[in-house]
Amino acid sequence: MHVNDQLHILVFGESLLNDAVTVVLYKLFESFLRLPSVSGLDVLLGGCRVLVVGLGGLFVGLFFGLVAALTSRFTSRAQVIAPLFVFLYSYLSYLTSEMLHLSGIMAIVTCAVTMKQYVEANVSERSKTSIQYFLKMWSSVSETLIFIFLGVSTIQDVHMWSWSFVCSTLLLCLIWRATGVLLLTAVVNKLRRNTVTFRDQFIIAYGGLRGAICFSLVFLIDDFPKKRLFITTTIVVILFTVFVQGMTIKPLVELLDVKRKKRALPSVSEEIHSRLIDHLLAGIEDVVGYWGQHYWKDKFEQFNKKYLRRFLIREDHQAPSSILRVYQELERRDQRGDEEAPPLVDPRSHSRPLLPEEMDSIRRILSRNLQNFNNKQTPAYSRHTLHQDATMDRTRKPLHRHQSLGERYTFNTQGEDEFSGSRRGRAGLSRSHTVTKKTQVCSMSPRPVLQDSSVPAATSQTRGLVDPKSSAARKEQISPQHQAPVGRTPKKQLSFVLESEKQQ
Amino acid sequence: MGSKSSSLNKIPNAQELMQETGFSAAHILRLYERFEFLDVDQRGELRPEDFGAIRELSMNPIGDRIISAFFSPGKEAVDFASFVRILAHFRPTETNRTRDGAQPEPANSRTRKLKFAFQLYDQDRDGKISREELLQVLRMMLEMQVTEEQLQSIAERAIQEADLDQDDAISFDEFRKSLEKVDIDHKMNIRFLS
Repeated sequence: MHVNDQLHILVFGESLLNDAVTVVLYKLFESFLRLPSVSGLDVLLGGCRVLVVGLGGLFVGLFFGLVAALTSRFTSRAQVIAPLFVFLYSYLSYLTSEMLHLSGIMAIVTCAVTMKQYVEANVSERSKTSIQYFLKMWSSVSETLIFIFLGVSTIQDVHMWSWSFVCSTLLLCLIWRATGVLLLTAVVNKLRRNTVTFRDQFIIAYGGLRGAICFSLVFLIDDFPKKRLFITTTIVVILFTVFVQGMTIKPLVELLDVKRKKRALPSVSEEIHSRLIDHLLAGIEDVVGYWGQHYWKDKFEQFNKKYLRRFLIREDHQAPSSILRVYQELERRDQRGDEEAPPLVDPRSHSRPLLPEEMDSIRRILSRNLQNFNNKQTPAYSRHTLHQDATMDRTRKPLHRHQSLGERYTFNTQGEDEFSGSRRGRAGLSRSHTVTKKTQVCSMSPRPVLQDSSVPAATSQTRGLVDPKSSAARKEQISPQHQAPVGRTPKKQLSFVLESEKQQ
Repeated sequence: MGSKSSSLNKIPNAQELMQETGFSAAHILRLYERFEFLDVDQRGELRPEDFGAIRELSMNPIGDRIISAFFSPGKEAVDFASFVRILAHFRPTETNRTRDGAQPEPANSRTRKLKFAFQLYDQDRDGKISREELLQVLRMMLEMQVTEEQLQSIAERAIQEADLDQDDAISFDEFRKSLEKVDIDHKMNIRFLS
C-alpha cells in the first residue's frame, strides 16, 4: 500500500516477530497446562525461554545465511542451482531450529536477511529474477492454501457457539491490541527522535490481522470438551480481522492521510549529499567522543566491508557503494525509457547500460567512421550460452579497474579465438562503453563480427536483434570485416580505436 | 547542582555560550571535558594535530575536511567557544520554538545545517560547488570502488540533476533544493546526553 517507510517497517517487522513469539508462547502455555501448579518461578523461566528461543532462532538463521552466502560464492559455474541453494538453505535453517526447539520463523527471517546482502551480489541477474518470482508465487500459494483450509473448515465443521465467549474474545482482542500498541509506542517514542505519530499508531493497531498461525495452532490443542468452541471462536476472530479490518484499512489510510512512501528513487545528488552527511555525522561523533548510532553503523560497515564482504562475495562482484548503485539504477531506468527494448532483451545485459550523453558521443564518433555496436542481443537459452555467461562474468573482472587501452584489447584478442570468445568480446564491448563528456578513454571495441561460418542457429537469430541505433556508416564498415578472417579482426579493431584516439 | 556551577565557572563565558547556542549546562560541561581531553598540551585551544589524533576520524573518508571545518579560514587554532559554536549546528532542531525576528537564526536551524554541509564541498568559499570540488569529494568518498570514468559520469549526472540555472556549478540554493526531500533535521543531529 506504499505507506511511509517507517510505518511499513514497523508493521511488517511486528508481524514477523509476532509469529515467532506466538508459537513460543503457545508452547509455553501448553507446557504450563501440564504442570500441577504454576509458580512465579515458572513464569520467570518461561520468560527466559522466550528469549532463548528467539535469540537462538536468530543465531541459527544467521549461521545458515552466512553458509549460504559462502556457497553462492562458488556457484559461478552452475548458475541454475543458485536459486535452489537459496530455497534449500532457508528451509534447512527452519528445520534445524525447529529440531533444536528454537524459533523456526526467526531463523528463516534472519537467514533471508543475511543472505540478501551477499547472495544478491553473487548470483547472476537471471537467478535473482527467478528467486524473486518463485518466492512470490510460493508465498501466495501457501497463504491461499491456509485460507482455503480456513474457509472449508468454517463450513464443514460442527461448531459450538456461545455468544458471550465469542464476543468477549473478539472485544478483548481489539482492546488489548490497542492498549499494547499505545503502551509500547509510548516507551519507544522516548528513545527516538522521529516519533511514531498517533495516526501511525492507529494503523499499527488496526492492522493487526490474525491469521494462519492462530488457526493452525488452535487445531493442535489436545482434545478437550470445549475444543470446538475454541475453534469456532478463533475462526470468527480471524474472519473478522481479515475481512472487516483488512478491507477497511485501505480507505482508512487514505482518510487519515497517513504519510505515504516517497515514490521516486533518490537522485544521485541526493544520495551523494546524504552520504556526505552520514560521514560528517560519524566524524562529529568521533570528535565529541559520543558513540552514537552513526558510530556503530560506521563501525559495522567497516567490519562488513573488510571481512564479510571480501570473504563471502565473489572477487569480481564486490558490491559498489550506494552512490554507485543509485547511479546504475537510474541509468538502467533511463535506458529502459530511451529505447523500447524488445521484450526478449536479457535484463542482465543492462549491467553496463549507456547514458544518453554516452550515446551522443558514440554517434559523434561513429560519424568519424568508427565502428561501434551496442550489444543488446539475447542468446537463445541453451547449455552453451549458459557457459558463456560464466566466461563473461569472468572477464568483467579486469574491466573494473583502471586499465591501459592496450591491456583491454589483449583480452579482446584472446577472446576472438574461441567461439565462446565472441561472447567475451562482447562483454569487453559492453563494459567499455564508458565514454564521458570529456571522452577520456575511448575504448570502443567494434563488435567482433566473426559470426560468419561458425555461427550456430542460436546466435544467427540474434543478429536480427541488432541494435536499431546502428547507423548506416557502421553497416558499411561491417562488410569489409565480414570477409576478414577471424585472426585479423582484432588488429583492425585496434587500429580503428587508435585512429579515433588520435582524432580526439 | 553546586558542583556543577563551580565547574562551570572555570569555563570562560559559559553563560553566554549557553545562551547563544542553546546547550544546557550539562552539555557545556561535557563538551569542555572533551575539549580538555583533546587538548593534549593544555594550551586552551585545539590545533589540527589534536584532531588528527582521533583515530576514527583519521579513517573517515572526509576526515580532513571535517577537521578544517572547525577552523575558520586563516586561523590555526580553535578555542573552546568556537568549538562549541560549531558543534551547536548539530543540536536537534526545536521546531516549536517561536523566534522573534530580532534574534539571529539559531545554529541548529535547517539552513545553517545545510550551510555547514555545503561548506564541506566548497573549499574556496565562492558560494558554489564546482565540478572539480564535487569530484574531489566523490573521490574521497568512493575511493577505490569506481573507475575514473564512472566518477566523471556520476559527477556529471549529479550536477545535471541539481543545476537549475545551468552554470555548471551547484549554488547553495540548488543544493538546498536537491535535499528538500531529505529530513535534514533528523539526519544531522547528534543526540547529546539529554
